[in-house]
Amino acid sequence: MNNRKFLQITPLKTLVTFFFVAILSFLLYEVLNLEQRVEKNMLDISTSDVLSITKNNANSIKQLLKKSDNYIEDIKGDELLQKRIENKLKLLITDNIQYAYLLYRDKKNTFRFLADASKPDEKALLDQKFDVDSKHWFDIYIKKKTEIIQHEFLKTLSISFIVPILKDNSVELLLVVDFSLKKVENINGIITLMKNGIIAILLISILFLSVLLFQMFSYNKVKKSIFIDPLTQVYNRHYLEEYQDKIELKDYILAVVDIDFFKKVNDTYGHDAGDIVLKKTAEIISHTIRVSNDDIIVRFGGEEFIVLIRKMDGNEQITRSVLHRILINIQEYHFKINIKEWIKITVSIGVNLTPNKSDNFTEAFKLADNALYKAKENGRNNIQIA
Amino acid sequence: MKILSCVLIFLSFSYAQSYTFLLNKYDKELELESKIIGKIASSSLSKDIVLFIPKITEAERNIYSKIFTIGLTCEESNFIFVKKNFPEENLCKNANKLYFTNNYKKLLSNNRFFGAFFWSKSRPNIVFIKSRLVKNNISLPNSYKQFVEDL
Repeated sequence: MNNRKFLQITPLKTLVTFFFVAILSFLLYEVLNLEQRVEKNMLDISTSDVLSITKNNANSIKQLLKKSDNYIEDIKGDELLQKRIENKLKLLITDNIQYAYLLYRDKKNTFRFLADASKPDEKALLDQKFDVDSKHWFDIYIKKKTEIIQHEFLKTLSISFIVPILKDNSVELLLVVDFSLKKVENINGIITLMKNGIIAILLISILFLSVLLFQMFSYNKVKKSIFIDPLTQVYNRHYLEEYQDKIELKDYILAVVDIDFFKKVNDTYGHDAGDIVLKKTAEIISHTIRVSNDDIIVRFGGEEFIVLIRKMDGNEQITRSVLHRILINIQEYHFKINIKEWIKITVSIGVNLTPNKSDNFTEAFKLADNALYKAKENGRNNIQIA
Repeated sequence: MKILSCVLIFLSFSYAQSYTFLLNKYDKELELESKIIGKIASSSLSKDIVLFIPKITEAERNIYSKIFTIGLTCEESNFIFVKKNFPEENLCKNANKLYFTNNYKKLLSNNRFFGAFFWSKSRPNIVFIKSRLVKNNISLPNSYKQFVEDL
């Protein structure tokens, strides 16, 4: 069992928070991506019919011009033909299609109107120049295929379909259909509604998760305070009661460390001095054992500590040397009990090298405690093995 | 909790456009128009430009005054930009002024105007009439050649 799990709450909290924020960012990114994908698909679906109708319209205009040798000049010179073409273009105008018009490109590469289905106040004159805003318009003359232009910067238009009308395999005329923003706005309205719904669900989930995390951290904090001895800041007896069944005894040697003549310290120098000795002793033991190696120290009661030292594979000597260092380090330390006075204390240690041979932790502890008794009998300040 | 607050603040800023509005609505179209007219005027006139827009609105005055000196009358100005719905007979008769319009039909029907900037199919369009440029001794940079028409 890893005894550091409580000590790692702070990094764990950071990690969980980081993970949490990463997940949130990812979800938000996905929601925004989803918006773009849905918008594109919805737009494709809702405009595909219009594109087909526009192509049919272009074909029917081509039919009108089937006897013509020069589309441009014939349209310019025939008002009736212009009217017939405009009538065909007017069929394309709907709530969503704002403009439908026929263009040609002159020798100077300037686009000009041949027919326009717009209302009179917006209608372009015959041969009126038309300034185009992208190179796509010129690409059609090379590709000879329908071009779809999405407008980012135009105030009232969203998309333009440009269908070429060919004569002898070269582009003669362009049938242009401009979609108003209404269509895109309608689609975006639906998507925004969906997106806001998803974000709201996400935020509510995040809120619940946050509360859950907060509760989890609070619970761990309380749990930690239950299992940590406030004076020595090492585990207390409750910790052992909770986790003794989970400790893999085969992985540890079990030692009981008891401060010699602790009662005398209390009686002679007072309880404050006793507390200092307990605190410092726990600190020395903590520094001597290898917390990083999952060694465990528990204040079992009064001046008695249980130390569980993880066995080094195939090197019991190193493990035992830890106990020896505890004995020596405490023996050599000068405990400052007030401004003027220092005292020296010793400890007795009882060791159970094979706690896994016992049925349970209590039995293993008893053997170590018996060894401690022997150490006390042997004049204290020594280590006895069960 | 701090990070969560930051995320929520970030989200609220991202959607700020949905629940905030400007008191004076910003007109991008008008600003674009003023910039184009500014370029055309400075390319057409070598002296300091005093612009007169008949029946100028407050929004137009605010935006155009960033680029031009705005004349209060036609007489004191040297560049007159006539927008729709203004009777042309009310314009001052002075040969030393340049007249520009935002209406293509007006450009064709009145030879006082040397050019027009207008919106056609929601796209900005510029037209200069070659003979009128010559008549007014206007020499435009090469980049304007694509807008010059032999009408």
